Amino acid sequence: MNKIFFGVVCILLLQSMQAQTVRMEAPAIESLRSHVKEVADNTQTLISDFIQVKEMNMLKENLVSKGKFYFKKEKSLRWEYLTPYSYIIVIHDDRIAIRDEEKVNRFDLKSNKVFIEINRVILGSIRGTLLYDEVNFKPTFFQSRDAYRVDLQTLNPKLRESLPGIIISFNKSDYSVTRVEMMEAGNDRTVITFSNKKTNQPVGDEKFDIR
Amino acid sequence: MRNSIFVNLLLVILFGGCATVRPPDLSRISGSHRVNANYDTAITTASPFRNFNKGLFKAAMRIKNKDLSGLLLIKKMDTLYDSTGIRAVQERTYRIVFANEIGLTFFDLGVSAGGFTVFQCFESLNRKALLNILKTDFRLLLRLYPDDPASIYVQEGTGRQVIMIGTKHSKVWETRNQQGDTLLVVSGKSTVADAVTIGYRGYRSGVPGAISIENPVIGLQINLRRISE
Repeated sequence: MNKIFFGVVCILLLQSMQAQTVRMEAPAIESLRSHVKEVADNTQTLISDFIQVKEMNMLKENLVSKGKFYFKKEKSLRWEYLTPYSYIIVIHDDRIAIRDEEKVNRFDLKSNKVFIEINRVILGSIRGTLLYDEVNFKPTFFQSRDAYRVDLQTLNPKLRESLPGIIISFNKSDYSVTRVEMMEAGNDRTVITFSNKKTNQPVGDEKFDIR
Repeated sequence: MRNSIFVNLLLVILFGGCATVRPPDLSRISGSHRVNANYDTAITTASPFRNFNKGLFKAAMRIKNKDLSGLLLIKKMDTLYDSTGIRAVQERTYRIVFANEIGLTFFDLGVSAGGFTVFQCFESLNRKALLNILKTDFRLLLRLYPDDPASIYVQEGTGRQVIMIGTKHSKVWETRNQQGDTLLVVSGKSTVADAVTIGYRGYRSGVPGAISIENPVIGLQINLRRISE
């Protein structure tokens, strides 16, 4: 009995140590910033699986989507949703194309303020470059054993109404973004977790040209 | 400048006023205030969301040539909460959340026959006029209006049953199939601007698989396709 109790206490302590997150000091912050910038500068392409969970607290509902994500420098994105339904969004040359089954809708990103803002935030989150956007976000830096975490508090009043904050987690070994949490008003949030990441693999231009 | 605003307003009122929601070619069934033997059955069987708890729809919204798309969740709630989380009203209430594919919420609304709460709304959509139209749209979509009084018509040519339900502020027209047990179209308006026609198709387990909502006066169109319960 005592052995079981001791074992449980050890496991809990270990988990607690692993999960312990501490605030980062200035030198560590500068180091993280420069590494993230270096990774962003050197990442020509990125291919990754993703799981996206939209948590709606008051509704006690989660919407789960899964798919594949492609990025090509400077700002070409392809979100390929596989579940709950097949759907592709491509953002390329300031244009958005959405393929829903066989139908493709295209429109100019510049004509849609909502998309301009969302795209800027998403792209900046995935590349980690939102860390430098101190006009719109106030960052606070934390680290645990495995990850760096940057909590971005939205400063832009219009954006803050919809998106009060974003939390970006970076892998400690390669400084890549592993997780983006978009905190919404009303305590809802969307968590996008990236896995099976491959950087600087060939990604053909046809990925960003859906017909 | 002032003249231009006046002309625009006049045009909206003129064209808006002309936006008819009454289905064409109707013949009233004589003395038709609840005289149709099928009426009571039809009221219960032709209410698509009566026994509905929640549904997830793929959603596309076009407003003034701007496109938004994503997922729309409709969930029946026991209680309507206000924006501070305090219980406000206890009646048949639905939460309607429209989020883009990336997960960001465009709007999160609570709708009942007598209440309407904006829990969240993206800044560029947060306009009183638009929200009032969405309120009317979703009330009609979910059939959150009284059953009575009603007049019953038959549509010449199609043989469809049409029921006009007059409420205090507006009239709602329900077009059903010939048997009167499947709701096909709901149209109505409470003001000049919120004339709306809602089409229901592809019923599965009593809930429509595809829904189209059209507000011609302001150029708002919402298409929903049900992807899960």
